[in-house]
Amino acid sequence: MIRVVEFVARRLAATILVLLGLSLLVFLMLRLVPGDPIQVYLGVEVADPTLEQRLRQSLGLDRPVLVQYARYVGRIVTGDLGRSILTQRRVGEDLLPKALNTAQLATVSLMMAVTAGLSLGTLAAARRFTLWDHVGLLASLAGISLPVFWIGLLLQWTVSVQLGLLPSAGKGGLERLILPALTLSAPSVALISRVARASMLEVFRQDYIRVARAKGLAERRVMVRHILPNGILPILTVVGLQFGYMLAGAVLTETVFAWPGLGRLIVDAIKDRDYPVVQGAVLLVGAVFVLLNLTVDLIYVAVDPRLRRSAR
Amino acid sequence: MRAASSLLAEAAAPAMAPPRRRGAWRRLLHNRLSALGLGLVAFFSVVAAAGPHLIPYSPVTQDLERTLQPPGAPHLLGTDEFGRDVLSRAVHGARLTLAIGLAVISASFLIGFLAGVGAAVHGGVTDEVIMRVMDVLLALPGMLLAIVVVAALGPGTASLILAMTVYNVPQFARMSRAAALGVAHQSYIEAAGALGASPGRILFRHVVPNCLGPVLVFAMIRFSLTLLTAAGLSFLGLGIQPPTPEFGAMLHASRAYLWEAPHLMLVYGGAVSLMVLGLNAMAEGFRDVLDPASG
Repeated sequence: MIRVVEFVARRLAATILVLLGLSLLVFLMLRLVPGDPIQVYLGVEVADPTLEQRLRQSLGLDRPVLVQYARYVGRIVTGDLGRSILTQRRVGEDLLPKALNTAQLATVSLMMAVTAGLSLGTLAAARRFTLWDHVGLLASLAGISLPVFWIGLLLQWTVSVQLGLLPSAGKGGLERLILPALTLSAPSVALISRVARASMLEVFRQDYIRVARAKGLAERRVMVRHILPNGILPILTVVGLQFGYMLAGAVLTETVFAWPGLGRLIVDAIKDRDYPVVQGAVLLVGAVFVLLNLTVDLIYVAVDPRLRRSAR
Repeated sequence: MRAASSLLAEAAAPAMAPPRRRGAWRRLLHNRLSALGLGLVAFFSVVAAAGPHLIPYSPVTQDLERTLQPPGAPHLLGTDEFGRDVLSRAVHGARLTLAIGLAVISASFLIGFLAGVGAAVHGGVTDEVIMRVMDVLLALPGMLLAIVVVAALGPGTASLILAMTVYNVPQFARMSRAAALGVAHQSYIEAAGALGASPGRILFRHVVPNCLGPVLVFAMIRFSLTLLTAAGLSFLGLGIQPPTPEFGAMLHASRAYLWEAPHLMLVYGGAVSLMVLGLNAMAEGFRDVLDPASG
């Protein structure tokens, strides 16, 4: 038990360190932009020197950099992400609806990826060295090799343009969700199916599976009651990580299908030089990614009794 | 995605394991997957090196009377929305993509390898500081890191290269550190020390050559990921800008002509996909030969 507490404490400390690093990175990002921060911040040049001085003071830009960073962290912690240069609205208000759209897309993609990946991986493991297995390997090699946005374009071309089955872009209704979700899930299907295959093969070798078969259980029951529950555990980590990568990588899929998500917001804000929005969005995506990883690790300890006894 | 390919290899190894105890090259060619990869990589290298000198068309000369021509004569793969030769643009795109990938991977390899091996050899505070910084960078998705750099420096080729180097360095550092630590505890290192070899000699004669194999395989996988990221960033308009022939940027432009001229999307996307596929397949094969322990 003490080991678990120690593991959790270390993991929490590491997470806080990473979050601080993330905030420093986002803070420094604005310093790296060529040109005077005040100009960058306001998006226009200030001609009047006294006005510039006043602005500098009111924005705290006359203080030492460390103080500025401390204040910045203070503001983030209270949820104040500043105002968009372009729309003058609070960054949080602009982020939230887009973040929900991205989360919707990523959640549906993840469910599709887990379903398809688990089935394909288990099938490949059960029919090892057959045609299924080889096709599975080639398909997953393709899944990690084809650019996600090209997969999206191919789907758009075949399903929307050639067959006219589904609308090719935009948001609203299930029929506009299918293609982007399918696209975003492709690399994850490839990965999850390989992990599932390896994990299931590992379980096949265990003594308790031999015992289950020896005592005459139907193969179907061995699969459902013994192999699947034990084989799924290592997949959990991958699935959690994939969700994070989907949130961060959704930008390409969102661009192909004109999906109004967080990724699109970041790219548009970069082109508009709307730095507070870029900072806020990067912070949000980064923090969610880091916290997801933490959650996965903690769930892992909670679910696997072996880890509880021997956690690092 | 780092885990992706190594897991793929683990899964693939038993099915495709080549017979051992043969020449490395024969083993590579014997493995069907790696032969395919080697073939693709060799093909694209030749195309990138010689192609621009063989094609009679410039990748940027416009011919507004022959726009969106389908594949055929005289333009083998057709023309794009400005009447530019698609084959020529694809060949120059392959050249540019490979050059950028090489630049990013060599820089990241060099910096990351030195930092990682340095951290492993020095240990103590140096190790702690280097690896905690790398941890922060590794804890974020690569795409996000690249976007941070591009956001700060503005879109363009130079910031694209820098952005991808920034997210590759920690990957190489962690990998090299692990490889070096693995080697450092071997008894032949101890033996070299006992025989009176200097730390520098131990490092460069024994540690570096012995941990280079796994890091090389890793470099190939990172190479393929870098090509994907570069194309992705350019697709978003954050990387290489038109009219420079680059696959991501060209694919972005091709979206408007999915109906009239799908060959644009098919040629450019197919080309970049085959390049990445070749690299990934080659990495699988090299892993079996260079890094037999992990097979």
